Amino acid sequence: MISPVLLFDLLLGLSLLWLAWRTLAAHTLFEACVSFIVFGLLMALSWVRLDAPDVALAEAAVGAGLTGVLLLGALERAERARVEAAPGPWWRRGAGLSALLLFLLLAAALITLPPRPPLPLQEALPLAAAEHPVTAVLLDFRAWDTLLESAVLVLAVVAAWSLERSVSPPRPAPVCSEVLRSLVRLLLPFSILSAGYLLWRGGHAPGGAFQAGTVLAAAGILLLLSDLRRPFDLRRGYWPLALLSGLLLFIAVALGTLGYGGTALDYPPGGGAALVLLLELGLTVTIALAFIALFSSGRSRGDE
Amino acid sequence: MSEVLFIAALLLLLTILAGLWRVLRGPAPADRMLAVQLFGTSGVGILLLLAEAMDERALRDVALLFALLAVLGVVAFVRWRAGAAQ
Amino acid sequence: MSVATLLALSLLAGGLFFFIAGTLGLLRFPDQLCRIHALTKADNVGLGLLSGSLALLSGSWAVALKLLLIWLLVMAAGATVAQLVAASHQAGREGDRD
Repeated sequence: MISPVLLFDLLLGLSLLWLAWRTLAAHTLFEACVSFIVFGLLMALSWVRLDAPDVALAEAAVGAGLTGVLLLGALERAERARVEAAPGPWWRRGAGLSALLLFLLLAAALITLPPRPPLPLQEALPLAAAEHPVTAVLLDFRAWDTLLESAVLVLAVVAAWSLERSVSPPRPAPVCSEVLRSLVRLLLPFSILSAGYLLWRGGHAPGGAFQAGTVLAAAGILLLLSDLRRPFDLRRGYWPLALLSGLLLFIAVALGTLGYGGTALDYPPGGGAALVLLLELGLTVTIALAFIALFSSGRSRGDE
Repeated sequence: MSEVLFIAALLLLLTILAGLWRVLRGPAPADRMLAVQLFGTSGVGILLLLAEAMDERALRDVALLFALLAVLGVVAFVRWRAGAAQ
Repeated sequence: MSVATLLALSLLAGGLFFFIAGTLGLLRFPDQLCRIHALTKADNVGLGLLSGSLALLSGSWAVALKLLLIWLLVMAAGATVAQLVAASHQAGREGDRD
């Protein structure tokens, strides 16, 4: 008899493929959005089954949570601007073919690569600034990658801002519902508490800046959606500095360690854990504000 | 015991797969969105079952994230419908 | 088998029943408001019984409290979603009459 564990994994994998197909072959963009949200939800479950709880946390936050809001917001703006958002059949075929080509190239590279000895992560872990292997890789061994990734996030916000005067329609009106407002008032303290908890746990267990930042971003987006907070311009006042805080802190730490020990982002002995926590704190603020900026970009209603 | 929990998780996954019919058929956009909402709750259930069955406490944090973000998609949806009705 | 395990298993069975009933409602009920009604049962009772069962199985107060928090959050979200979608449905119907 086939075991329930195997059956669970098989069904999960097959439904992912089917949902991916439904997302591409949907009749309307809204149906594609819905299929993609469900895809994100099942993807989070798949990461759980692949023993990758860190990725599952990120996928739950982004794939099943924020992507839906961003996609539906984009759909709404496209309809308001009367832009034909759905690409034509040739665009789709072209995109599909290039994705297939990229997949074949990657698969070929993966197969033809010479076998490598396993990474010496386990031996190196006692030297790392964090107990949890994923955090050790992200913020110690490969801290450069994370620095550049936070720069990419800031660039995405700059790109959205630079497009909004020419392309974006006005921001949609918020949802006026007293029931929603009471829920948001209730959720807000829990969101801040959970963000702090996820950030703190990141040092020794799955969690960290990305998940914490997403929870804060969701709380901020709910404040805007329910009209408890007026839309505000993240380009004014101290907000740009807050948006850049993760990146600036990262650069400061890189320069500091360069001056101290001669190698950028090589933490001094004993100070690594505190520096990693500091970086994670800055990244949390940057990630949260970047998502809020992406969500709320668009001309304010007063500009019309 | 973990076998029983896996069977329970499998049943919840089957309810999600059955609910996909509603996502596919609609008819109204709200029907599809309601199905997604139910999947979110079933997903929380599956995660809690797997946390116990696989003895992985981090999965309860994944479930916590699901619960905190559950309302986002539907609120964006309601705003889209209100905008479309105008 | 201890009394706690037996109780946990029956709670689990009860929770699964409400999830399955909620899904059947989603599939079979004739209109949107009925389907909203079916849905909230899975959120409230289904997940509640499931969390209760798992809290008993884990035998830890910390886990039980976390499960309680998750259940309360899901319930608050579910109730709000039901109200929002129903209100949006109502607004849409009034819009049709004009």
